[in-house]
Amino acid sequence: MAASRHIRLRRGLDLTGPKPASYREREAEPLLIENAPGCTLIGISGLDYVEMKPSLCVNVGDRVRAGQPLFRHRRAPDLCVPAPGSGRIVTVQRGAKRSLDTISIELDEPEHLEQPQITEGGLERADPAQIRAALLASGLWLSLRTRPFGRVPLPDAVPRRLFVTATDTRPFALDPDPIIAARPDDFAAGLRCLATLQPQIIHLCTTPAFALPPPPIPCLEHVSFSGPHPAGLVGTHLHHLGVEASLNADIWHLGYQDVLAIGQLYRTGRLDLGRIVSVAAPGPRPPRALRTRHGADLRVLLGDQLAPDSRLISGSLLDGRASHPGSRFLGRYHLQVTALSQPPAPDQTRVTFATRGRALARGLLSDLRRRPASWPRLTTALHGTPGGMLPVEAFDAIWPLRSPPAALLRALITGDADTAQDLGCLALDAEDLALCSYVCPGKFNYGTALDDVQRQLERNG
Amino acid sequence: MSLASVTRTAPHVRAARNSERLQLWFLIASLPAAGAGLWLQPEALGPFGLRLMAVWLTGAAWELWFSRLRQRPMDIAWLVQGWLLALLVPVDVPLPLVAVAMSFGMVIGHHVFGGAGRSPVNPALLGALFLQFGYPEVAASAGLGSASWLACAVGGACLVWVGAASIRVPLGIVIGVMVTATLQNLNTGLADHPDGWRPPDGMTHLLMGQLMFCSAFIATDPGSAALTRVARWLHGLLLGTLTVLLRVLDPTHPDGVLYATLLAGLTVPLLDHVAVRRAIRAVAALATRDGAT
Repeated sequence: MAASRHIRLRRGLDLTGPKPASYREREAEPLLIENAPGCTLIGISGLDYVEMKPSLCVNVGDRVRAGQPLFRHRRAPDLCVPAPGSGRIVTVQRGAKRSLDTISIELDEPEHLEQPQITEGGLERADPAQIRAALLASGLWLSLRTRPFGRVPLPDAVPRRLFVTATDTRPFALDPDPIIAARPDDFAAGLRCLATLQPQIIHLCTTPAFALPPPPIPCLEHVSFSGPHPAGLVGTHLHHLGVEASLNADIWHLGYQDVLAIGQLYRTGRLDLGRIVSVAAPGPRPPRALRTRHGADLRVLLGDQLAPDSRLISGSLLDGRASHPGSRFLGRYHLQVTALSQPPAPDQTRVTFATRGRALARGLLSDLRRRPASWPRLTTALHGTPGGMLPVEAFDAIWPLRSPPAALLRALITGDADTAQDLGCLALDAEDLALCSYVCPGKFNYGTALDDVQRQLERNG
Repeated sequence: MSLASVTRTAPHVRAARNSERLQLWFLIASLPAAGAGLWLQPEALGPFGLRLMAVWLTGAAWELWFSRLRQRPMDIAWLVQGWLLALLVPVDVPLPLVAVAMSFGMVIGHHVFGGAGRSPVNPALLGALFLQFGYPEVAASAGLGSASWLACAVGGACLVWVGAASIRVPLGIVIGVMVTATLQNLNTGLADHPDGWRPPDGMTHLLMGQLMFCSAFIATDPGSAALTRVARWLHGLLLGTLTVLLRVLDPTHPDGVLYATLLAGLTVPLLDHVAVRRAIRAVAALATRDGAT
């Protein structure tokens, strides 16, 4: 079914160029999803859950079953994070200020992906309160996040708007359409289940090729978006649908794979702990789609594709999280895994005028060519030193919203919270500003500046 | 330039373009203008070289001092802005005055605000204006860089191509000059001049004096550029209009470009403010429409 409304965006940037053939030509052949090798170790990261104060339910050495709570939110004990698999707790790693960094679990049976029964039968006849309770108990409530702040909503909160993101334009993202088309019943059931949360409107944001007839839900509005990244991000959708974000954080959003999982819970009462992710690494193999599980070990997913010195990212090049040796698991909200080469380490004794001159000449040539470096030549190099913010035209070229980007970015880095709020910073998250940081010649990170300004706005009411 | 720096958090990749090279492009793009100037006045090579050394030494000294003071790595703004200043001022200005002009430009127009991207005016422009204002008798003629309008235009096109400058400012200048000159000619054309003198038309205004140089390399400086596209257009239009008005109405300044550039540059924050308020209203209108449905 064609969307009731289509929004075509022109500005933006696809870092990895046109999508690889295996993703794009799905009309000719179905999306090829390989089964990922089984993990022996899985884990969850506390960093996924913004400002959740964990009170742990398990200790190192405990045995846990899939779906059993690992920790609860101290302020709302109904809100728990369940184990993504059955096994033994190996580590509980704390980060800065005793925040919970990682809990890792050694699986009993690596190949076996169980689907624990949360409720007897389905939820189709359940009342809204029971559905809410089932979502909370299963941990699927965690798939919801608020805008602004990106927190998991409290159990008794009611959304004003609910955004279902069934499109993805991040570098190397999977095409959601074939994944949804393979489970149409789950998707429709998921939307029906979400309608019981009583949002004013559910915005279903899809690609233009989305072919599934959405279920007859009165509050459902179907909109399709096309164009380069960030056409697939929630912040862009909010802006173009004219939805104003407020400090109440009553706009919620979630991804399409979580809708499928909610649909399965709604229909059968079973918890879907699977994930389909895109895996991309520099090298001869093209990016591919892998069927894996929540909290999967990123190193296992990449296998022999992982070069020893490359950076392993849960998520995309633009908004993913770099893993570190103690925490290398798939993030709760990430649908892709990327390995990125590091630039060759400079030999400090050999930095001479000649090497600097060569680097400068290469840089000047790349400026003249104007084309951004393309995969697989992208690296983690910063390509410069942090300096002042120069409002170049490049910001306008990648910015699909009506607000002037450089004015917003300068308001963010100078801490001018009022102007930033007027320019719509509450509708945005760090991921929406990733391309701005990418093109910034002054090498600012506007995502962290946005976080600071949003916290400041929240403190001052 | 450190070769080692890598990103720490998302976004993990960054574009190759950086501020240092963007500034350097201003020097590279104005090389043809300097070359054309020296081609037309070969005898100016020695004096020009001396003045270049003077501004670079002064600029580097200030940069060193301020970078120590702020504990920041040295920037290359002194190199680029010194070069532009040497091209802006006449080659017969006494060396000490050039050094003073450079000091004024770099300190008042750059360092006190915290460096590139934070200052509201272009340091080279401020230095050149300091000379014109304080020592009008020595700084009356145009600098070496303004010898060929074609070389300046080529340089400006290069800056736009590499993304260092916005095309909206120079285009606005051209439109502003053309429209104002035409209006002014319509006005004065009615009066009969006994000797058959006609006021210069827009094209003459454009190619005259330092206008091309300022349009290409000074008004487009990203360090003091407008934040919004609307303000970039308005900035250019205002600069072009002011140039023609100053040239026509003020006989003491036959080439009022530097003044016009400064005045237009100082209005940029105001133009930005207007443009940002307008954008905020547009976004709010979008949200209100949604609320009504």
